[in-house]
Amino acid sequence: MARIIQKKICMLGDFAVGKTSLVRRFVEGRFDDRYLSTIGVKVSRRRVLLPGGQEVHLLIWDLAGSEEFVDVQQNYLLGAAGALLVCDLTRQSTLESLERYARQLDSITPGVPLLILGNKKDLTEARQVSGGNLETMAQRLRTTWFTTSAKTGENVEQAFSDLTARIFAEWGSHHGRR
Amino acid sequence: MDEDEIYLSRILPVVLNRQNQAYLWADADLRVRYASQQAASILGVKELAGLSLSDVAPELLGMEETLKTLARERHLPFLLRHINRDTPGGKTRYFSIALYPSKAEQPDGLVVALKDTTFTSTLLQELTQGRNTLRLMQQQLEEANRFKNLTLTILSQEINGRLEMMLNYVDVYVDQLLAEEDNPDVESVETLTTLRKGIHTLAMSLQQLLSLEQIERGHVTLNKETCDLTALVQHTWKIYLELAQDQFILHKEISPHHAWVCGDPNRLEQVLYNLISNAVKYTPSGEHITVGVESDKSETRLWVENTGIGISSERRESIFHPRFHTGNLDHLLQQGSGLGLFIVQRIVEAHEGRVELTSDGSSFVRFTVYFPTYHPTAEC
Repeated sequence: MARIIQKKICMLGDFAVGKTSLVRRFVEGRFDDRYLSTIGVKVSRRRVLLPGGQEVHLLIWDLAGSEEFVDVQQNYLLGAAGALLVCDLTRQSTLESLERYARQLDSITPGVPLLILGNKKDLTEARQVSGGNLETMAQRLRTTWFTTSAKTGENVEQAFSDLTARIFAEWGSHHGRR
Repeated sequence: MDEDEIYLSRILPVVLNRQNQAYLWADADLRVRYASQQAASILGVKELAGLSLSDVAPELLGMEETLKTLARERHLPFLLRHINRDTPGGKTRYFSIALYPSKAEQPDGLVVALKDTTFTSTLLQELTQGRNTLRLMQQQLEEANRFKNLTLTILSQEINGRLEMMLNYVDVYVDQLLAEEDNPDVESVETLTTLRKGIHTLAMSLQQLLSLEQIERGHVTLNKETCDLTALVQHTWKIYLELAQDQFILHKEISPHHAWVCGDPNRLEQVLYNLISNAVKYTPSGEHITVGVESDKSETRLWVENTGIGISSERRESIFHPRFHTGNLDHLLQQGSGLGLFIVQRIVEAHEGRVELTSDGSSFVRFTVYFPTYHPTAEC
């Protein structure tokens, strides 16, 4: 029996940007309004099918966003196949932090695909981060971006699908060269 | 059975069981060869032997190469802390994983020590939760404050523009009245002059608001030019003191020579306004108020002094601190915001100067502002 392919995806971003909520929406299809800080790491798993029918297990690493855990994160980033860099659309400073997370990731696992997610899209009144801001950051990090809402589920599936496709495109290109 | 096998199957389990701890032993291929009951309990897997490490603990996925190197080259231990697992009861269990290479005389492999840290990690989680909630609140307050300052700036600039327009109208009207050489309406001119001074004072009060906003942001904006402080004081002191001239005995000790400083004339006027306002506010009726300026090669001094009241040595330290009295609105309207001297100090410091307070504690107060003297031909 063919072994199921497993890929590790890391969620990175400042505290309270909604990383845990995005994972819960993607894995369990639900949303909880209460804010619960994550310490350390929680690994969740979801099975997805690639366009060719190949079954893949995504292991999603929800990492603590508080600065006190930055050192702890280093070991957890080992072996990541891709990462979602999450900012809160209602807090400009959380976008600016993404560059630091990208650098941290690049120092441990260089060149892995990453995507920028501007979360809390549903909070339109309080929004501080524009599409232009996201685009500027995306160009700086040589990637693209989505605006998401863990609350309504908007764009959450698409974001994970897009990252998975990028991971396998990268993976395929490496295997093709062999 | 070779020595390694004997060690793994017979000795190691006895050694590990004696510790009464949650241990696994994995070989160099990261396959579990032995696990204690406690380890199985923490990981929630009944039979661990034969499984790969990343199967029993997906938190190790992706680290295989690092762990194999650790087993082979016997590096320092590798530690993962605060791993979260949901329990069937809906709570979170926390544990840590420490991976140690085998000892030199043992076969290549890893001793994996698991430790349930639910108690301490839950405390840490609660602490982090509280800290993050406070940080969020702080960010929200800073945002609200930024919005307040922005609104204040826009409104102040709008009102300031209108006050300047009113001043221009008054000036034009006064000029027209004075142009009537045969019969100038002196009474109206006097009224308009008083009105003009009132508008000017109002504009200065607005300037105070804008200064506060800038001070709060930690940056006082200065439009510097070479200014003659003598001329500035000569020109403006009466604006602020004339309304009080019946109440006090006024003096000026203004040097006949220029007193050049590099500064923002509006800000320097604001300093004078605040010092005079302070003197007018606290000097008893019938007492003396003196405004003076003098300069030498290195320093230029501007001072405002009054008699009839003093400042005790205990209060001198706090006199420049912003104080909002008791929060009582009536008191605030009578005595002002208590921010004047605070603003003076910040403006003077922005000009690389200093403020000194001299008082005998009962009947005399003098505020002296020192600025570096500037050569008028030097670039400011």
